[in-house]
Amino acid sequence: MADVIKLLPEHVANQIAAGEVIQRPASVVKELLENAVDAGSKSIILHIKDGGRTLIQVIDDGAGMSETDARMSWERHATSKIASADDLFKLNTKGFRGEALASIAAIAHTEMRTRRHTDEVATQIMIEGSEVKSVEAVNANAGTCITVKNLFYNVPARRQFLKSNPVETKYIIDEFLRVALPHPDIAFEFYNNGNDIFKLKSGSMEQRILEIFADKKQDEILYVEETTSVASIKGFVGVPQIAKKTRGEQYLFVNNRFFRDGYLNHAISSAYKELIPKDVFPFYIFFFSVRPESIDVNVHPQKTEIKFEDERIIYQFLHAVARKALGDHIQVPEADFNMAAFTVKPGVYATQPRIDLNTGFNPFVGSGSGQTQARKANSDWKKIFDGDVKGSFSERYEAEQTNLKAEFVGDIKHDTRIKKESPSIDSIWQVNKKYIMAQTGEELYIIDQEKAHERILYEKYLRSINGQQIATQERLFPQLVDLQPTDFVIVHDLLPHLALMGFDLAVFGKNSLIINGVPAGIKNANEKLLIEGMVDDFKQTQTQAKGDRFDILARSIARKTGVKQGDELSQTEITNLFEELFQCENPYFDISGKRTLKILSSSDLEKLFI
Amino acid sequence: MKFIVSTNDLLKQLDLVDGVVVSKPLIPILENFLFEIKGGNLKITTTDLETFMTTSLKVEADSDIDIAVPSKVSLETLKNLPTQPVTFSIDEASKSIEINTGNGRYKLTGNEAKDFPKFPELESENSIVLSSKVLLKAINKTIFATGTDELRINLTGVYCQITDTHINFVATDANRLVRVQRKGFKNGFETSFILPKKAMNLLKNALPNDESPVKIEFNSSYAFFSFTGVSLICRLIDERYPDYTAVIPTENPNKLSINRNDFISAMKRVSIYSNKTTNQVRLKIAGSEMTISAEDYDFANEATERLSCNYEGADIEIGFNARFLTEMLNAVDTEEVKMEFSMPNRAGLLLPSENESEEDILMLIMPMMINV
Repeated sequence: MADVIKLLPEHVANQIAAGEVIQRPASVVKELLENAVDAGSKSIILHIKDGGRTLIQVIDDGAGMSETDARMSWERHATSKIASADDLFKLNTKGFRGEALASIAAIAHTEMRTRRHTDEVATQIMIEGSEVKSVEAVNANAGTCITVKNLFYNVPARRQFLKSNPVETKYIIDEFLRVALPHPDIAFEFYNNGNDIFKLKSGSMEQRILEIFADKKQDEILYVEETTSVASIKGFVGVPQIAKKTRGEQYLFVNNRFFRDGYLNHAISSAYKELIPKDVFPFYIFFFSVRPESIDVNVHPQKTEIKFEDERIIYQFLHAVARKALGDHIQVPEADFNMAAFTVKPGVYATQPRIDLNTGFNPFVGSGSGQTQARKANSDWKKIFDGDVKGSFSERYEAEQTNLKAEFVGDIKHDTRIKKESPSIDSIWQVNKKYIMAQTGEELYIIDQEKAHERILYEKYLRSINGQQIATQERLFPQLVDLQPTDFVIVHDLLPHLALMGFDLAVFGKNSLIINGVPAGIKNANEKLLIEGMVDDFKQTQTQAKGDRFDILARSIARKTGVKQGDELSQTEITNLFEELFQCENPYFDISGKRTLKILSSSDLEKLFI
Repeated sequence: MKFIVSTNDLLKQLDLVDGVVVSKPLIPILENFLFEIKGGNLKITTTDLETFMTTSLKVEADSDIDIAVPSKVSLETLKNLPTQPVTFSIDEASKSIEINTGNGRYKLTGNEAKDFPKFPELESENSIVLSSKVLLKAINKTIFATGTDELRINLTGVYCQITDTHINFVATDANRLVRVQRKGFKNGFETSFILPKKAMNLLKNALPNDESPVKIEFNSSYAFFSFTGVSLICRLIDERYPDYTAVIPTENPNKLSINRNDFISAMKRVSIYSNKTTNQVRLKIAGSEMTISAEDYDFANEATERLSCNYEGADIEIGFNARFLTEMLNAVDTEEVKMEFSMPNRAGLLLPSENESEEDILMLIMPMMINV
């Protein structure tokens, strides 16, 4: 019997490889645009027809190629961008594999016209299904023009699976934006069936973003910029109000390369956590600049995944940057008191919410600065993690407790918060045992008592990690709580956290706790049910990060001990609630992102009676 | 039928029993006073089904009758009349009640007396007799410390513990505790029960501040108080009271004595600056000086005040809920007040500088700590 294993003919191999690189017309657009950018163009024009099926044409004014280069460029693994394997780890260009053109040529009718600025004649190469049909000298502008026609003409299966033209066009627009966004210095034009969709002038990043996202206003986008030794970040985040119900306006770029990252996306969306409802996605664009060798781009054929050297630091850094930008700009719904602080002057774009960020931001360290801090946190985490694996349970507990003591309990006595100005109340009353109405000057505040109190308590308990420890009201009759062994482990783990929050708990016997004291100010709460409920909440939303633990606990306590709808409040209580609400960092939304209050101005009231 | 009574006399009795009536009760008849006239004696009963209260007075009646009279309307009418004799004319068939004064005529409709819940027959097992003054004082000193937590019903009442030789009245809300002990009895039995707060409040208003005797009878579910023509029956809180004796600290090496009025005034001023939710104030006692301080981080408020005192023991700093402490200081009658401490995380004791004979008042307050 004859041998059956043979080398595939090159055009077949190319077709197969093309399946990886070129999945749909948008992939062609991406590859061609990136090549044009890599060629140092100042202006790039993209034409498509019928969702890219019939025509994709990219015209640039970049470097251009000599005749030999032009021919070579269509060969597989032929590239000008890297020369050795080491170069893979310091990529400054978009492409590097030398596969794109070969792949495209295998499955379409392509035509390339290219001229270097120093040459007098251009080279025109026509290829159909990897077969060079002609090479001619022609007259053309400097730069390169690549035309891709009849994509997938020889791969009917692939053609079958293409979506409708509008959908394919949408994919192409996405790819176009991912290239156009990080390169504001290059002018882009984009024509679909002869109609212009985008005409982007070269200019600043801010102009580019506003040109592309024409539905957003200048003052709806906040600008942040931060630099550390690991990375520098430039970011544009949308205010919570412009978050949308659908994904799509989230962009992460590293060294001007678009990538997706669920983990980093979480860093940003969690910064919005209480500002927007759960099913809404915030607008953001972040540009990272890192040393090329600290990332690995070559993990995915589409190059949309990036491996960072130290993702955790990037995560914390990103979260902090987003958080701060938003914190500086919590917009007041309807009312305009203090609005002056947020106003952006026309023409001066994206300068005011500048932040002075602790570059080694770590939510668990009260103070400190510099990269060392962040690194330290990281190693601490590793230590604890190692303990988890090797060390005994009690060792880990001790370690954590000392950590907590050392790191969280800062200088309590001297940590005085600055009183924020809260609106002065003319009259205040409770409605339906659910709402608080307050008149302040010209405005009527309508506050949901349950949501508002949750917010107050949540922030109060959360502050306990930053040194504002909560006083403990000792109880006359200590209560014994028997727990399931698994639950007990959880609570035992949380003891130092709970202590900071004002619980005086002691381990009693094997799986029991004694509640000696509870946070002062808790009213009518059954301590036992509270602890059991917190364990349940914790189990449901368990995560390993320490910051999150506090968050879960604070939420749980706030929900369980807060004023409820239907609770009758005294005049003093409602006044207190109102004032405390406005001492909150974010008085306008409750802990699940719903409104706590509504403000009716006198003109709003007038409108009711027109 | 008709009866004639002085507005003042009737009003006085109605006021005593009106506190039992709840607004919007489960059954509408409970919003009535039950009037029972028998041989010139008017007996007035009110109830909310948990508590029954009766009182009586002499009236000039031409015959006997039982009728339920709407409490709110009748009481409001009488309150707004100047003192004078009024005539009640009652038509038994139509239940119409007409109140005639010198110048006016007020007509309202009563209800069937037989719909009114029956005053429970009490088969008492035991009884004790106290002077009204003593009971009144015990109630006044304890009732403020009862709990309001509906999840812990047992703490919402006043615990009454009767031993052979003495009676303890105890109230606690789990943050503080008051025990009023009366000695010098020869009861011959031991028992204990929890009296509901509502009944205690009613007694507080009805008990005369004199030596007249109050008889308390009780069985496992009811307590029955009778004094000077008034009877009150209340259902006991059927719960176990916590073992309060275990929490009273016995070793208190640090003893303080201070002028009560000065202490109260200082507390009132300093507590204005305390956090509104925790009400925390700190007492720092060293040598013969006590420093009271409070702060509210949220509003950047703080206050300190120094008071001189007599103190024996180690320097101590201890935090308390200002409201609890002030209420307890107010419940003490003596000019000087004593406090005793052991540790900043253990209960502090508050005692009058001297007790009446046969009396022992002890108050206890749990500290509020910042556990650094």
